[in-house]
Amino acid sequence: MVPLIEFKNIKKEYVIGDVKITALDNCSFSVDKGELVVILGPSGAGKTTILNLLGGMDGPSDGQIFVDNEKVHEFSKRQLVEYRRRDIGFVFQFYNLVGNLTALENVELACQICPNSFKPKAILEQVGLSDRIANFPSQLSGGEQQRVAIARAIAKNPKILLCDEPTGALDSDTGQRIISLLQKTCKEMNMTTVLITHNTVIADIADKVIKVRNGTVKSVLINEEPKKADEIAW
Amino acid sequence: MSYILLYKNTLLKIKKSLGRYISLLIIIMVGVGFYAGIQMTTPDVIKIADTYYKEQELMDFKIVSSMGLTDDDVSALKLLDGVKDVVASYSLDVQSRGMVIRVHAIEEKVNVVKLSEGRMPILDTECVADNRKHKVGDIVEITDKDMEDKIKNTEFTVVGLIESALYLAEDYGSTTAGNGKLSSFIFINKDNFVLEAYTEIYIIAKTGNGIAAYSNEYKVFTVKLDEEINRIKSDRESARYYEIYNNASGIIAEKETELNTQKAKAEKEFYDAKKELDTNSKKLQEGKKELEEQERLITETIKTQNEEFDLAKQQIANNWKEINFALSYMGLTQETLDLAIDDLNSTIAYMQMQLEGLPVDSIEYATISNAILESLEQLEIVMQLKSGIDTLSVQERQLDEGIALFNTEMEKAKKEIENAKNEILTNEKKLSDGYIEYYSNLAKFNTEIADAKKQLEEAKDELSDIDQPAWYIFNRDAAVGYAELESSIQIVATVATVFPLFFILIAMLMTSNSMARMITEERGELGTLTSLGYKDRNIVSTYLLYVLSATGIGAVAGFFIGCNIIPQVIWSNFVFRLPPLVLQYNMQTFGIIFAVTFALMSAVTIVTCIRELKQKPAALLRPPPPKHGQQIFLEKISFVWRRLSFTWKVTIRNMFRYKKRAFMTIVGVAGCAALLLTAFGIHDGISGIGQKQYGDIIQYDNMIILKTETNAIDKELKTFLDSQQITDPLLIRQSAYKIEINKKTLETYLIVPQNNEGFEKYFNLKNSTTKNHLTLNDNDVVITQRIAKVYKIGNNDVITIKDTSNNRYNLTITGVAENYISNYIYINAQTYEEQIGKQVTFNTIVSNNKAEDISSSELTENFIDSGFAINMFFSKDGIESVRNHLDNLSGVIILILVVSSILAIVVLYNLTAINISERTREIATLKVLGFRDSETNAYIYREAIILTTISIAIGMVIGILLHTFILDLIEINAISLYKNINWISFIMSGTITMAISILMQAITYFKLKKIDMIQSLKSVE
Ligand SMILES: Nc1ncnc2c1ncn2[C@@H]1O[C@H](COP(=O)(O)OP(=O)(O)O)[C@@H](O)[C@H]1O
Ligand SMILES: [Mg+2]
Repeated sequence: MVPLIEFKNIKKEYVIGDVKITALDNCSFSVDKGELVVILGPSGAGKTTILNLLGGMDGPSDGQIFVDNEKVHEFSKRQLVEYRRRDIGFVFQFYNLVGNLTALENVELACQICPNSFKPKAILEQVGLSDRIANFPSQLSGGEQQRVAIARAIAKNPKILLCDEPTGALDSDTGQRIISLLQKTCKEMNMTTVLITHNTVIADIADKVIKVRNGTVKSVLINEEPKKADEIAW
Repeated sequence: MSYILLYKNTLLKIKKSLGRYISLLIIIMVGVGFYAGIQMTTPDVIKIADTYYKEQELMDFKIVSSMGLTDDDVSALKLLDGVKDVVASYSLDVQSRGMVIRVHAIEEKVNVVKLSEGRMPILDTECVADNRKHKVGDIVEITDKDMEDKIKNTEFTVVGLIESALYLAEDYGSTTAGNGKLSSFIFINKDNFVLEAYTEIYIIAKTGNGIAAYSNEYKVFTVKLDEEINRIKSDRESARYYEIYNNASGIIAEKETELNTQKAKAEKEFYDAKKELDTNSKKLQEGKKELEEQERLITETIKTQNEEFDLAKQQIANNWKEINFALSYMGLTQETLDLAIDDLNSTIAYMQMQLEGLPVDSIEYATISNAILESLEQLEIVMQLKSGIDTLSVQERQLDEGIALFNTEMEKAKKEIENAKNEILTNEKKLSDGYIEYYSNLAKFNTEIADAKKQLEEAKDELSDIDQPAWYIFNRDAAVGYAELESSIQIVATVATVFPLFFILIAMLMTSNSMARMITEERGELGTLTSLGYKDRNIVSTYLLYVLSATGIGAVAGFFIGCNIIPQVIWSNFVFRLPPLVLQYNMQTFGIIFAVTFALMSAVTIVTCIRELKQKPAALLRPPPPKHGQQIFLEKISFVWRRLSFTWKVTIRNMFRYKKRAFMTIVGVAGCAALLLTAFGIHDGISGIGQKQYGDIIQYDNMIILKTETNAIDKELKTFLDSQQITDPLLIRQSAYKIEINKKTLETYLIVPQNNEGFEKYFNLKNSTTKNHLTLNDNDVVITQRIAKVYKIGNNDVITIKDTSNNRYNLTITGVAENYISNYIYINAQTYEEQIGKQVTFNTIVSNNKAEDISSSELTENFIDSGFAINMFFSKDGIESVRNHLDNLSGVIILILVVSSILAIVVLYNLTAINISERTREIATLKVLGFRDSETNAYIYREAIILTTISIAIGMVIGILLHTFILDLIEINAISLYKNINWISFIMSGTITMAISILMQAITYFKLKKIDMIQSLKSVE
């Protein structure tokens, strides 16, 4: 089976003035459809960079990215927008909800641009926020906000759900519930999920754990029996 | 602690946020520039105008009299308070090559001409002329006839070209000659004028150099002087009247005496002649009679004489008969008598001889003696007969001689008589000729006398008909363009007081907003600095440095650029014949502007900083508390809200959420739209008034100023009007009055129509606010809007008007009518008679004009030539002239448009920048979600467009208010402008604002494109 995502010898350099920072170098891995992948690594290892490249927010300096047989590395800016729109759901560490929109509207915001999106209300119900749909982000707790963010990401019915340290700003309990939600969605909706964390515990729930260090993949570990999110101890 | 770093940091900040710094600087620059520039415009213009007037010694007053002016008038005027100099002078409006030009006398003390080329005249046949219409070397010829008693020369060589402060406008004003329009002017030596009296007197007021033209002081001074002049006016008029009257009646008296003496003398002569003729006639009659007597005598004499002669002849004939009988008896005839005598004598002698021989006693003797005796006897008889014959012959001869003599005598006498008769006949002829001559001469003389008497009577009649001379006192408004310049200046000054204030308000708001934004953005840095131990005032001072450096540079640049450009722009649209603009930089104004701007900006900065710094450093280091999303009011109206599309909801909610930003946008954009609308509106008001006044309110085609006042259009005038295709003429009385309340004088015309129908036809009076039609019934007094506005009076208020002889009349206002040009008070004839107390006479005709093939100037010329009119005005020319006059203000309008647009650009740029910077995160999120650039843009842009739309709507409302406010001020200060704003102006100002908004949106689009998702979403900084 051809993997859904294929990262091949990716190199990413940032040039700031005269300084060249190599964020990723010769980074390769692959993700199969429906897999829950955790990318693990210390701060500054290049995790976010990987996710950004995968999410079509930036292009690689070198190497190839294949997603569903498409050459994402060759995409133009415009194609990248369409790619993000169609194929990618993104969950941020700091939720990045639009403060002036209610939970429902934040979801709708994403849905309205995707032709085969899910019903926003249903999705919010799915993330357990059916009674908070009319609330504004400021009226929600961090965990609830992140759930809205997740709902917003999955409501688009993307091929890939990308989460950059979604629990980073949350306490452990809430974080666990978020992870659980993500796992559940991934499995129930068969949505390929890539999750970044520096919390090794979370790695246990993944189908595949990719360890990153200094901008390159250190190891790829297939978890034959991923734990349930509720089972792990924080 | 060294603060150098702190200030270095400020410089870095400037460099970093150059766009914001520059926009701050530009706002201040434009604000200050506009304010200072427009503030300086009025003084700049007044300065050059005043300097020019002073240099050219422009008169302060000009007096013209219907009967000319004299040196006595000059002396009387010289005695008045506030008079510096009085100059009597001449001017004549004459025809020259089909145009009417005014010929002035060159004066040295007043209305001095400004030579631009050539030299001043030396000879009386030289002139200096208007430099617009003439060239040096041109010949100016006066083509009027009968100028001998007015001017010496009628041909002048142009030796110099000039400008005159009497002609400040492009046109030359009106005249009562030719086609009614003055086309040029020349100045000639005063000696050229040979008029009996001066045509005008110029007065130079003792205003001194400190009082500038158009200033309030000037007005106060001249109003007072005007009163002074008016005070002596009627005295001088009477004096002139009596001068003319006495002069004329003196001449009449002289002529009368002369006539009488001549008449007496002639009558005496006639009397003598008649007497002589009569004597001659009598003598002639006597002679004739005498002659007849003589003739009769002669005839009688002839008769008696002839009878006597006949008698004598008879006697002689009888005697002859007797003699002849005796002779024949003796057998003799007269022829034989002598023989018989001789025989007898011889017989006797013989016998005697015989006797002598015979004795005495002889018989023989005796016989012989007897025979002798017998013979002797016979002889005796014969002798006797002979003597009888002789005597008779003598007698007969004597008789014949006598008859002949008598007849000759008689013939002679008859001849004499005949001669005398002939003489008498000749004399009789002569006499009758004499009589004929006498009578014809007498008749001639009588008619001559009658004529002379009639002339005298006429002269006497004329004497009683001599009009009371009327003085016309003009102030500097008589200088063509002087008043126009004033109203233009007033409008600019009015705009200058209102617009920049509004502008500066917006600028201040924008600056304070952008400062607050900057400080808020840098709260982290503020926190760091406070936590490092910098004192608040050190930190505040860095912001002050930032703001005040921008303010300083902006204010200085703005002041000098504004003072340089704005007056020039406005001036360049002023079409006045004045020297070039001399720019002034009033340092006092600058100081005030600088101080105020500094104070305001400092205050804004300090207040904003302190508000932020009040928080604890730790709090400052955290991000600002997120703005709370909240339901807005509209959501409560769910049926509306539900209908809105999702993006609309977001947009609307965003607008309500970022209230401050929305408010700022609205203030800025609405302000801009309001300014634009006001500017366009003023332009409409300006361009509209001509049409409104002469198309809407005034319905007549033309106005004919009659030469003489009249009660009705007489047949002669009617015929003439018909011949000129003038239809529906309406007589009106139009006379000048002054309204004076609280030292504010307003000139007004009192209009009295002859009848109401005509008035309704030609004067479409409408209530100035409700626009309801106004009628003019008995006791109605309708004033025009500017009067009401200036004095803040209305219905039922009493207004006092003053005529030129300072008689005051009180009128109770019953209506305020829409009106734009001049001020009018309308009353009907009945009201006139009641209030003014005089029978109304009319001096003007308003009418329509059917003729299309005749030009206005031709028609005017016909009227002036006819002697019925002194001038004629056409409504359609009115529209044109108003437009020309008010074109002067297009500079101001353009200026406001440009400056408002700059303001709008800067404001919107600022707001856009703020908008983007505040919402970078949100936008990045959208981008990550896969929003296309256009969609992202629309998300922001819809908001901006809606805000702009709302702002425009609000701006229109504010604009209407501001427009009304400014127009009210302009109305009070200068002129009534049309208050309705054309719909095109709404569209224009809306479109410009929208266009600027869209332009800014385009800039936003590129800014949005540049937003880096990764950077923006990394973390919260
Ligand atoms: N936009 C950027 N510009 C410059 N350097 C960057 C940028 N993004 C990431 N880096 C650098 O790349 C490296 C990897 O960063 P990142 O992917 O954010 O690490 P992680 O998410 O694992 O903490 C770091 O050294 C970081 O400094
Ligand atoms: Mg990271």
